[in-house]
Amino acid sequence: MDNQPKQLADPQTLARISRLELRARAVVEGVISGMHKSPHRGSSVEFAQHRDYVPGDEIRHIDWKVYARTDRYHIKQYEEETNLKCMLVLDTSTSMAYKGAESALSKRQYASIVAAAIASLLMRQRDAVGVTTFDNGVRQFVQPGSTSPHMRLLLELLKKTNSEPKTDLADTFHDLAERMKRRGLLIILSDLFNDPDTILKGLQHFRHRKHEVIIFHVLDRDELTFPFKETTIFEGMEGEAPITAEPNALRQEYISAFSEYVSRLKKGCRELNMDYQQLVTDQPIDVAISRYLSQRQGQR
Amino acid sequence: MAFLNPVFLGFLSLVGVPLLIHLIRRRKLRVVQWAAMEFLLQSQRKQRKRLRIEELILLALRMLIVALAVLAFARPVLRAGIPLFSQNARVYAIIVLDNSFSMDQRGPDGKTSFERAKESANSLLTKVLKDGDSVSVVLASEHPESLIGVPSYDLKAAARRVSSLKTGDRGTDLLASLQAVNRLIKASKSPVKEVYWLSDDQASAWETAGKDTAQSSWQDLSKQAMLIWTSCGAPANERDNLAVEPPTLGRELVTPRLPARIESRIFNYGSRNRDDLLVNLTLDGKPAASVRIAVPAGGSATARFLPFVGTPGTHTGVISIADPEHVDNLVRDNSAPLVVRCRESIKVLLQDIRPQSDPAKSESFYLLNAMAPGGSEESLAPHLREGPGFGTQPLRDYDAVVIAGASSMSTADARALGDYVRTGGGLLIFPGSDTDAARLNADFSTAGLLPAKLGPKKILNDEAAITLNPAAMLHPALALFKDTAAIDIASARFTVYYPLEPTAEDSQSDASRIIARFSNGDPALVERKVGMGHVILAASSAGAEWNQLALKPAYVPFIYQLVSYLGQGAVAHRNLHQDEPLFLTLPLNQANKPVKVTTPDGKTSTQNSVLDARGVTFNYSATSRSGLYTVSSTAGAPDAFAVSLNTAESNTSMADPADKLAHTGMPASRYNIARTSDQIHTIVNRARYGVEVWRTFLWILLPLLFLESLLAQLFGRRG
Repeated sequence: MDNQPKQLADPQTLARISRLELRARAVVEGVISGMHKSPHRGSSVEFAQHRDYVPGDEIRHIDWKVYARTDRYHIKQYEEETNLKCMLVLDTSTSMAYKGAESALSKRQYASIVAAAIASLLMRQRDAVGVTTFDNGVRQFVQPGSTSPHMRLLLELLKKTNSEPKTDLADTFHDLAERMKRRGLLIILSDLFNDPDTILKGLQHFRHRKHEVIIFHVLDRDELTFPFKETTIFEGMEGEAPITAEPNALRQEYISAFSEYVSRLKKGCRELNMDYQQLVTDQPIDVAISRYLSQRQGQR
Repeated sequence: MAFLNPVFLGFLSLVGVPLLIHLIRRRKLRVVQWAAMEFLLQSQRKQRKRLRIEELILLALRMLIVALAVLAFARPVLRAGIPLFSQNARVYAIIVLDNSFSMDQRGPDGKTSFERAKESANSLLTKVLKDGDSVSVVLASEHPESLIGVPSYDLKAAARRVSSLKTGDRGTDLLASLQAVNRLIKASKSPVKEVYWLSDDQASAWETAGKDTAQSSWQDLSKQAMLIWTSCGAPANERDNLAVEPPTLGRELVTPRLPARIESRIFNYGSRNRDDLLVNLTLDGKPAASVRIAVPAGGSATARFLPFVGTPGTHTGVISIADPEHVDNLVRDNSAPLVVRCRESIKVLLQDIRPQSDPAKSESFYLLNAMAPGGSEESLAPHLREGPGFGTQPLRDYDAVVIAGASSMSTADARALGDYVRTGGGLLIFPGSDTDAARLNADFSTAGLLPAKLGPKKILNDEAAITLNPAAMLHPALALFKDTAAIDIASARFTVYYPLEPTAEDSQSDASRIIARFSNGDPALVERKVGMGHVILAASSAGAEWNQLALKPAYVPFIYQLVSYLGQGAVAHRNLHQDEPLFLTLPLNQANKPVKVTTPDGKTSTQNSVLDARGVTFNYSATSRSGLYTVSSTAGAPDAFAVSLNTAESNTSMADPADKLAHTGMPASRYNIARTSDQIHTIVNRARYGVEVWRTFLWILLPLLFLESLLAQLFGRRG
């Protein structure tokens, strides 16, 4: 599937997610309206745009002049009204290009759709969404915004496929943490193929900056089950030396090593009070996101 | 090890296939761009060494499997009889078919041993031997015969000839047959020779062939040919057999008043006693007498008959066990033929060289009275000739000549007497008081008629007097004196006699034999066969001066037996052994006339009589079959003679060929034994090509395949 804006903002996916509400676990900085809990209430006065009134909006924000002209309720939106700044951190390294024989999407495609869906979802709530892509370092960095043009910009960014092998994720995360001045929500979409200790060390930096971090661990089914049968030459997608292997002989050992790695990641995330969610590319995207959101709502 | 399909060995290069596949697989492996390399590296690092070993084990196993499969297709054999590079060579097969009459024994399957042997031979000729192979067929018996001597390539014709064969009447002599086979082997240039010996494994056949002296012949065979011995006989426990030995006739020539004395031993070559065995005598096709005898298992008993044959002429008879067709499984030897000749009387010329007027001192007096008691001519018709010379009447008019008080004789008499005896006459010589031992020895020796040399006369006093020893009466004519209860011949005392030294060695055909002895062991009577006739020399006189025999009741039967025995020699023997020629003297008017002989199997042949120094004679030598032969000439009524079986062949007890062949000195690899006809194919293939082991290879292959699957599964290498 191509990363077309239309496809990325698949209405079905969005409709499914709209029934749920994304709730931040931690109180984030900024003025929020609606259901977001925030210590700062409507401190911003810079008009940004109108939007349709939805039940729950404060009546004082209704633009009565517009009502007089159009006979419809419109809410006046201000820049500071955006109560959540969310940064979608997308791994675009070469390893994300892996697409198993049974999978419809590569990890990169899958992650992009997930990112687009979440961005779309958040933007509907007038939350600000930014995107960071990284491979051997931060490749692109777009500050959160909540306007439609911003959304289109984000979608264009997600479509880009240039990639480089990952290097040290810790450095990348440190760099990113430095760039994000204000507290917000970080959603990391990556296969996290790096040393777990290094990854956790990088994540710790976000925690230190009080960011809330959600990790979507995007994997192909092949990477979990290692289904190969015949002797195969495995060429590293990130420049590793090729390995000729008898998959049957190695499977058990591989699965064991992989499980251990995942366990370490999960444990590390739990210790850092971060959400860890595994996404496998053969799962329906909306189901995966919904499941996560339900889970999250339950935790709140 | 050799291979029957060595061409397949070329496929051994297939062993390289697994290696090749292994290498190609390495070259043409599927390539996968893989992200989670770190985990792969981790697991592979741990397993690399083990994987390498497993890979090598599987590779070796697969190469071994291919090698074994190829070797199995190449049909490996152990101990090949034919060298590897000669396996397509043409085979020269000699089929040795035992056709002795014991092969007629029926087995539990209802077939005779010979029928089984023919089936085996037929199977060999049609199935084992192939086009291009050649064959000879030898009939093995005492007189082996090459049915097909020159190797024949027409196997079908050979099969036809074999299928029409019948058994002979002969016994078996393996050694003679072996030598015949060796001659054929030697004459053949074929590189691959096989001898198929089809026999009933009779123990008696090994009498000569089992001796150490026969080993070189067996080894000669094994050096050039492979021997495949096939047992065609009945099982060892089915070989019980009764046999009638050729009858012994106390006299072949009888008179109407003189009964024939016929005896035959009945042998029981079986494991159970025959306590009440009925033995019948038929004469001229009519029952003449029957006796019941008890024959112990493994032993024998004698059936005795004393029939009067009645009218003069030739009488044929048969001694048979009652119900000969069913009493045992070998019918052939359950009866034995015989011929008895009857004349009005037996003419005897009694020559008294120096007649005495005193009857007490006259030897001829006693002799005449013994032969014709009271002067009446009964069965013996003696004619007394006193003084030297035989007179004008030709000797051939007499059946026997008795010389009392023998001494020297003229050259003409010696020649006449020699001719007479050689053409079948009987001569009985008694020394007397005027005998000059040295001259007698010289004259009779010159005539070729001396059974024993007379030594210096021995004169004993009354105390040292000796008697005849009844136990040493070995001659059939004297057998009745063994029983002293009826006639006590030992009561006569002898005080004067000549020690007799037999002249010819025992091994010679005209050997002298001692037929009666004195109580001190010295010979009393010595017999010598001369030509067709017999000469008996007595050690003491026929009168009463030197001994008391003439005064004893035993004297009359003693002289009667000796003279009637010798008298029958004047006519031709009518009871012959196999291959013994028939010799007949015919009247002069029958010279060069055809004589027709009808054999027991109904075949007739005609040949002319011959006139020579012995008169008109007819000689017939084709007497290989046993039974009654009839001879017809224009001279008068048909004559007959009987040829008996060699009953040594009747003992069909079995010898294990494995034991016997093991003692021949042949290498075990050069002979094989088929216990049944069915085994012959397998045995021949094994003998020819060795023991095929491809099955063993497959049996090894199967667990290896299983092991390969198991290991491949275990090692995770299954594609």
